[in-house]
Amino acid sequence: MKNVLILMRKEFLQRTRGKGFWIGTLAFPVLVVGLSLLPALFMHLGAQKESRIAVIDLTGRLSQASGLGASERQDRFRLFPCDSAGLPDLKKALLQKVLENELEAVVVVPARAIADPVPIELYARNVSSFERNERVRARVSAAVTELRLLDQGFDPRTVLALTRTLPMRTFKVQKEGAEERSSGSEFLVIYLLVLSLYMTLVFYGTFVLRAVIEEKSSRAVEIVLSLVRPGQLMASKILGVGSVGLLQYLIWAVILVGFFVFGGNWLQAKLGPDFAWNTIPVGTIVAFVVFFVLGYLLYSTMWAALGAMVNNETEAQQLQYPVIMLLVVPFMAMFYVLNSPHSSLSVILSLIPFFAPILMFVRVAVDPPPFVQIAASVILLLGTLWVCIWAVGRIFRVGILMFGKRPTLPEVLRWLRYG
Amino acid sequence: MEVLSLRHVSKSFGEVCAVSDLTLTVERGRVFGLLGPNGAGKTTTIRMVMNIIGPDTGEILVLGKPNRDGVLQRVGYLPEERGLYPKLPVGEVLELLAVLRGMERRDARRKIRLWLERFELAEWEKKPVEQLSKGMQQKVMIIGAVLHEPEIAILDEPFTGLDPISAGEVKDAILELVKKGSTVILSTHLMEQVEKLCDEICLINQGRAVLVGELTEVKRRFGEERVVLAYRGEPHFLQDPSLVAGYDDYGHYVEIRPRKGVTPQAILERAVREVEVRRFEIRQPSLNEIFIAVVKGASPEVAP
Repeated sequence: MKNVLILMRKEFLQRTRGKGFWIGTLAFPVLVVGLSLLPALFMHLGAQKESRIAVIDLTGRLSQASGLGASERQDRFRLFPCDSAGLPDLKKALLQKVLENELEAVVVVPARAIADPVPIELYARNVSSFERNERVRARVSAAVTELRLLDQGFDPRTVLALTRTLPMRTFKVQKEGAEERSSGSEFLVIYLLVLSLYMTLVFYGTFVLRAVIEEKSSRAVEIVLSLVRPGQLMASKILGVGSVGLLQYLIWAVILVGFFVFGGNWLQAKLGPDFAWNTIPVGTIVAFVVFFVLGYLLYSTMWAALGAMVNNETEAQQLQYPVIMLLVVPFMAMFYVLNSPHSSLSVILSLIPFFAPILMFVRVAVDPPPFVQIAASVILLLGTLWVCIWAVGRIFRVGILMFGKRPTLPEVLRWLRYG
Repeated sequence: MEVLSLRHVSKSFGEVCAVSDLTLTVERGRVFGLLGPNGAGKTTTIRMVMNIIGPDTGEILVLGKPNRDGVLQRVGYLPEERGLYPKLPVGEVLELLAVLRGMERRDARRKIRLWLERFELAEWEKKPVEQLSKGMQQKVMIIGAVLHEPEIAILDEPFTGLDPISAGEVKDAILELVKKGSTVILSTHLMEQVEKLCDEICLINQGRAVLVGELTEVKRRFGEERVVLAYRGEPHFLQDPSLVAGYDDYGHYVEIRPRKGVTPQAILERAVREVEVRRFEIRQPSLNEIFIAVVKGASPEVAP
C-alpha cells in the first residue's frame, strides 16, 4: 500500500511539474469562455448585416398590420402589394435580386391567406436556415392573424392587446413543496455538471491510457512490477492522474468563484433580469460526487486495460472506439432523459453501469427517481467496477510485459484465464 | 545458507515451453552464473524469481520465503529490457527505485550521490534520463539495482553495451557487493566474464538445466583435457579413432579432443613420429567450448 502512494506521488509530481500543466490548466478556462462566447459573437456579427426580405402581398392589406412594416432584429421586411396579373413580372424581378444577393428571400402571400390557412411561399438561395424560415413564418402568420381580428371588427389597439403573448415562470415540484426555478439556469447547471463529468471520463481517462503506454514503453515497468502487484501499479496510475485532475478542478473552481465575485453583475446584465440563479440541491451535489468518483474509476480502469494491450498511441486510437462509444451513448441519450426522466427507456439506460454515471446523475438532478433505482444503479456500478478491476488487472499483468505484436481479442480472453 | 531455491519450476506460454522442471539453489555469498543461448529461458526464469510472471508449477523461495512482495525489496534487479522513465531526472528515478524498496528518502539521496560520483555520472543527476547515452543509462540502472545493498542482486547481461572502463567499474561494484556478503546472480552470454567472476554456474538450454555446479567442478566433470599442437607436416594420426575423439585443425595448429582413456602423453608420442612438433600444450576446456558443446549437444558426457 505504501508503494502505491510512492508511485502515485511520482505520477502526480511528474504531471504537475512542467510548464505545460500550468499553461494547459490556465488556458482551459479561457478556451471554454472563448468557445461559449463564440456563438454570441457570430450572432452579433450576423446582426450587423440585416437580411432584407421582400413580401409580395397579393392580399393587398398586409400594410395594415402593425408587425411587418417595421424592421425588427435581423429581418427587414419590405411589402410589395400586387395583383395576380402583375405577379409573374414582379416575382421574376425580385428573384433576380435574390440571385444577386441583394435580397435574402422573397415571400409570396396568396390573396386567400386571410380567409383560409393556405401556405405562403418562401424563395431563397438557402432554404435550410430553419431559424430564419421559422421567423418569417411566425411574423407573416402574426400579421395575418391581426388582419383576421380586424375583419371581426376589433379596433387596432384592442387587437394589439389581444395578441400579446404571455411570459412564463417555472416552478419545480418536490416533496418539500413547489419552488420557483428558472428553467434556463436549471438546464445550464445540469449541463455544466454533466459536461465536466463527461470531460473527466474522456480526458482524464485518456491521460490514464497515455500514462500506462508511457510506463510500458519506458520498460522501467519490469523493475516496478517486481516491487508492486500489477493491480497496485494500475491503481497508482489511476489515483495519480485522478489527483492531478482534482488539482485542476480546484484551480478552475477558484477561477470560477473569482469570476462570479468580480464579474457576477456583468454576467447577470448579459443574461437579463429573467435569468435567476438557483441554488443546487444537496442531493444533486452528493449524486455528482458519487457518480463522478465511480464513473472515473470505471472508465479509467478500462482505459488502463486498453493501454496495457497496445504498444503505442496509434494502436490505442484504433482500439479506443468501443470505450468512446460507451461514452457517446449516454451523452446522446442525455437530452431524451432530461425530457422524460421516468420513461422505461430512461430507467433502463440509467441502470446500465457504463451509462449510469451520466444518465442516473441527470435523472437525480432533474427529478429524483425512487431511491431503489438510485441504489440499484450504484450497486450495479460497484459490481461492474469490481469485475472490471479483476479482469483488467489480469490483462494489465500480462499485457504490460508484452512488447511487439498487438494482441487479438481471443488472446486477451486467454490472458483472463491464464493471467 | 540458501538464498534462492527453485524446485521443479515450469512455465509455458501457450504451446511454447519456456522453462521445464527447473531445480536449482544458490548459496549466500556466491557469484552465480545463469548461462544459456538466446531463448533458453533465462529471462523467463528471472522474471519468475522476481514474481513478474507466475510459474505454472513448482516453488520458488527467495531468502527462505515465498517470493511475494516484501522479500523482493531485499533483491536488486537489472532486467534484460533496459529503460527507465525517460522524462524523469536521473536522481529522481534512482530515488524512486530506492524508496520503493523501503529506503528513507534522505538516506537514498546521499547514497545516490555517492554512486553517481563513483560511476562518473554526478553531473547528470538533475538531467532527464533520455539525455544519457545508452551505456550511461545502463550504469544508472545498475546503480538502481545495487543502491539499497540488496542481499541478492540479479543482473541480466550487466556488461553488454559497456565500454571496457565502465565494464571494469561494474565488475568492481559486483565484487564489492559480494565482499559485503551479498549474493550475485549473473545472466550472460559473455563466457570470459563468467569464467573470471562466477563461483558456480547453471547452463540452461531449451528450458532445462543441462549443466549445474561449481565452475571448477563443471570443468573437471566435463572432463576432457585438450591437447594443443603447433606442427609442421602431415598429421595422419588425427584420423585414428583409437586415439582421437575429435579435433579442430588449422593447418599448422590443431586442438585435439583425446579419446577417453588416452593420455596426452600418448598423443604426443604418436605425433612426434609423424610431424615436427613446435609446441605442445595441455589445456582445460574453456567455458566457451563447454557452452558450445553442450548447447549443440556435441558431447554425450555432459549431463551430470
